Amino acid sequence: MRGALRWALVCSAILGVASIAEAQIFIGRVAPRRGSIEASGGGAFAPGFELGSLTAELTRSTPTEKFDLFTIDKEVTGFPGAFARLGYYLSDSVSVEGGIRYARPVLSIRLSGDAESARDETAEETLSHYVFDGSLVWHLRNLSFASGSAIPYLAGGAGYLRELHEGNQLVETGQEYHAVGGLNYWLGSGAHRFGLRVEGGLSARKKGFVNEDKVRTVPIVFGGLSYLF
Amino acid sequence: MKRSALPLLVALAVVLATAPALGYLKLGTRVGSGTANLRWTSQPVRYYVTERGTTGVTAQQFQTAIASSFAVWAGVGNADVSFTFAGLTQANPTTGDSMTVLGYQNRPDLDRVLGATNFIVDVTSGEILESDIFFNTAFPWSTEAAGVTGRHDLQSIAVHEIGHLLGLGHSALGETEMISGGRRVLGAESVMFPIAFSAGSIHDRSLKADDVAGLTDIYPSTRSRRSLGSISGKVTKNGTGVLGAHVIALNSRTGEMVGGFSLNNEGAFTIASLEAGPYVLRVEPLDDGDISSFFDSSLNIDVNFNVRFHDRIVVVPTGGGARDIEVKVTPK
Repeated sequence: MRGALRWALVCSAILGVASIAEAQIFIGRVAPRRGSIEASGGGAFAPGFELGSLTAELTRSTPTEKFDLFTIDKEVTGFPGAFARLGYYLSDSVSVEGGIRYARPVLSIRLSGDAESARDETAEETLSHYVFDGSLVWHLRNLSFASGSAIPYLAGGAGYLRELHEGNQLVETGQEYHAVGGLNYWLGSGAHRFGLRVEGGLSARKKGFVNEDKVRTVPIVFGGLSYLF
Repeated sequence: MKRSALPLLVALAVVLATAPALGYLKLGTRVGSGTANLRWTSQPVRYYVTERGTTGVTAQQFQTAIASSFAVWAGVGNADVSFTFAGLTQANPTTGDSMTVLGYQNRPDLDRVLGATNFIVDVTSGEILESDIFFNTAFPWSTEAAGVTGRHDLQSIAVHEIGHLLGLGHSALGETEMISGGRRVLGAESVMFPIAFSAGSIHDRSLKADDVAGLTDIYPSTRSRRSLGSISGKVTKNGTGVLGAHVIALNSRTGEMVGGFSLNNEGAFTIASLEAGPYVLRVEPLDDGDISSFFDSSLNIDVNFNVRFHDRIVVVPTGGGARDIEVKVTPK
């Protein structure tokens, strides 16, 4: 009998923990929930990447040889930016988002190895980089913590890449695809509330100012504020 | 209609003494205070071929090589230019017979001239009325597909001369070294470079980006007017314009190069018919060929400055121009 009571208490404790956890999730159910709207914005950063080298070559008399006039090494420096998004919760766990990202990457070309000893030089231009994107977001409520205030999520989507060269006279377009993981940390428990949002992942781009047919993938991180309606 | 026969180099001198022509180095004639570029306004250009061979090349092989050379230029997609073979002739390639003739001349006195192009032009408009090309039989020739060591490839030289016939001047897109008795080409990236590759080379059978840009500048198609752009600006040294600086624009995506010159005392240059995109610029003095191959010797061409790169990327817009570029060079 005493043994059976002991098991009953243990079971009760387990159930009690479970019910406490369920109660905490219930706080989250106030918002966001189906029909909630989430507006968010903040900063973003993508590290730089190399775009390869190219040699300015002259044709020689010998068919297989070239005369190297000079060499260029191209790279894009790491670029900070900003983002703004608007999301709509289709259910407690799934939302759709649309937004815009803006950044000012610098294209840098190192000129060196001149056949007539021109001084090495680095030529640059600053671009305006826009991504108009849409994402499907899966909120992992069963992995929430901090009393249900912190809710991880996974998101994936695609976007339209629009990049303007310096002077805004030449526009390059392309496609962007992204897959990210992040965390919403909600402040307070009201239906309308602020939250902190961080996320990181991969952004794959095709075309744009790098003008490549292949897909170039770069890591990207975001951080900012959210507001829930 | 006032007509004047203009040998090639005289025509060059005329255009370069005036304001910069748009884009590539083109032949032209002074009209009032401006310049009229030499071009064919009536197309297709009708040409005859002298029915005569030379050692190693039959008349038929000669005619075939000439036809192939015209086809190379006619194949430039961005340019509107066309040709018609009018027939074989016994006429020599001399001006004044109202026929555009390509043929041989034996000119041992011209011991450095493989071929030459002459014109009759309307000096009031720049319209080319007649042009004749001769190939110097003082040199050995070949039309073999792979070239023949020790013999100059007829098609390669014909492509160069037909470039002149169309109104193009010489390009400076090449590097040379001095050797006893002249210059040797280390490398060139334009058929219109004034010094030929060594005998046996067939490289100049095909056009380079520089040649294509030059032709397109003179005979732009509707599409190229909309899609291609230009770079213009000036080359200065200690605040003063540099005359005769060679400016190379390198497409940083493709590696293709197109050259131009600063053509007045303000150092102004324009490089036209460029694909849209980011470019880097390199400016050098004209030291890889005799200046007289490009400019009239009476002009004060400045070669006393160091080669340098421009410190900004220049973006050529679609159908527009990147303007007001200033490249500052320093004296040697």
